[in-house]
Amino acid sequence: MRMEQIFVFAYFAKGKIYPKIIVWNRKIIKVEKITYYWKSVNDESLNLHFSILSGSFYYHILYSLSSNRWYLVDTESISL
Amino acid sequence: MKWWVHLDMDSFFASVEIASRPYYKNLPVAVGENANSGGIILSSSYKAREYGIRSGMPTYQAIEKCPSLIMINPDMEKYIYVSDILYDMIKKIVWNVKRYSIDEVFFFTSTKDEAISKSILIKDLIKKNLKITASFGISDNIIVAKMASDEFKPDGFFIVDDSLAYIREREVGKVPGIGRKTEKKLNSIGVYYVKQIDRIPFSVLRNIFKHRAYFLKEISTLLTKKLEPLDGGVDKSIGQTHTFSEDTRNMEKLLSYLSIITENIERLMDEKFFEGNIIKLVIRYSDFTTFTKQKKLGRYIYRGDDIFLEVSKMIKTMNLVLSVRLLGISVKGLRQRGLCGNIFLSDGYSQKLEESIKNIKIRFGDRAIMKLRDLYTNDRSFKNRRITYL
Repeated sequence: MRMEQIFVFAYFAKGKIYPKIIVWNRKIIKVEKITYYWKSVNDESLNLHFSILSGSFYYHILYSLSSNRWYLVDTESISL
Repeated sequence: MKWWVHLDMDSFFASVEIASRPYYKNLPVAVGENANSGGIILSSSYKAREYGIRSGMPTYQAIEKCPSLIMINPDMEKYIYVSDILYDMIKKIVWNVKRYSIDEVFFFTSTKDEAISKSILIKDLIKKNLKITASFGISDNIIVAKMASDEFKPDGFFIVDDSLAYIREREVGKVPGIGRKTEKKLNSIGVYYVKQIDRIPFSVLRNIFKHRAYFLKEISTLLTKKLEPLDGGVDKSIGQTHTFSEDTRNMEKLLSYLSIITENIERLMDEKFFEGNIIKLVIRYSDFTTFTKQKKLGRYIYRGDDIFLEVSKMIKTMNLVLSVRLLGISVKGLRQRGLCGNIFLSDGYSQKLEESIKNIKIRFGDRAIMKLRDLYTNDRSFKNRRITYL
């Protein structure tokens, strides 16, 4: 999947970022649970990754510290 | 007395993915490359293992075995990040942690109780912070600790009090350091369990397995106390010299030849299964005066890279007054090497790399693969190998 820029409402606390609401394709997605968090370095920029659950969907979103932008990396349905 | 702890993450890549996507828990999950591109399985969940899916298996074969298998593309950056977090976490608890691979570490403590309490603490922290599990093996022998961590996977914890009794009852193929080829050879002479190695006279083992016979003997007895210097070991030495066709003062050239010499010394040391702690560098100048420098190390070495590191330091501190005609290195203070202690000194990747380089050299010749620093020793190789200078 190609990365897609998204808008994210997040708050910063205790040196961490907590994404709360994702706006993607004019849809508002409320973050219900952050299941995992990790970092990566790409072209000398630090990226923060979040695995998120919302409703019956999983989202992998990324925050680029160099551009201050949020991206949707991957999404999948949880219908098992 | 040292108590070794081996920590092995349970199906590491798959567990990290399941922690990210908890709805995959209790389902057959595998991390691997696409079946269409001839990919392989890198890691599989324990549920997937029930279907016979193993790491290294071609993806198409895994899907044949379990059509409902959930395939996840590997995200190495994620796994490296989690591995780094794990390593930093353990480092805060034990000072002597040694990373063996992306999902395995060793450390040791001075008492068994300390090993147990620290392991329990680390185990809980991994579960709490990383949401994955690890298995622990504890023993007074490093090889046995590694074997023990495999006993009760996943989320296992196994303490071996009598290492010798434990290892002697195990199949030879289960011992780290004994590969499939060695296992087959051992089986062909009627050795299936470690305890059976004792029945084979050492001279026979030496004939069949060359220097690896020492390792086999050592695992069947777990005796590493024989690391005594050889009779007259301080005087005995293994060394090699090189005489230049044209005298030189070019440091790069000298280092390049030193590198080749150290590789040859490693081979000689390997044949006899020696290691030494005294390095001697010999330089003969163009006027035939000879200069020697000797250094006693605080540790025993046998690897070419380690010897090169020492001699390169020595030659760099020397003031070469004339062009050099001859270079020589010798290793003294020899003793028989104890593999049980050394096998995990370098990480798993380096060991595999070294093994592969050795195999390429055996098959295609010494010049088939070289370190960049060695290329100076054969100028033609630049041209033949199409290496372009920019």
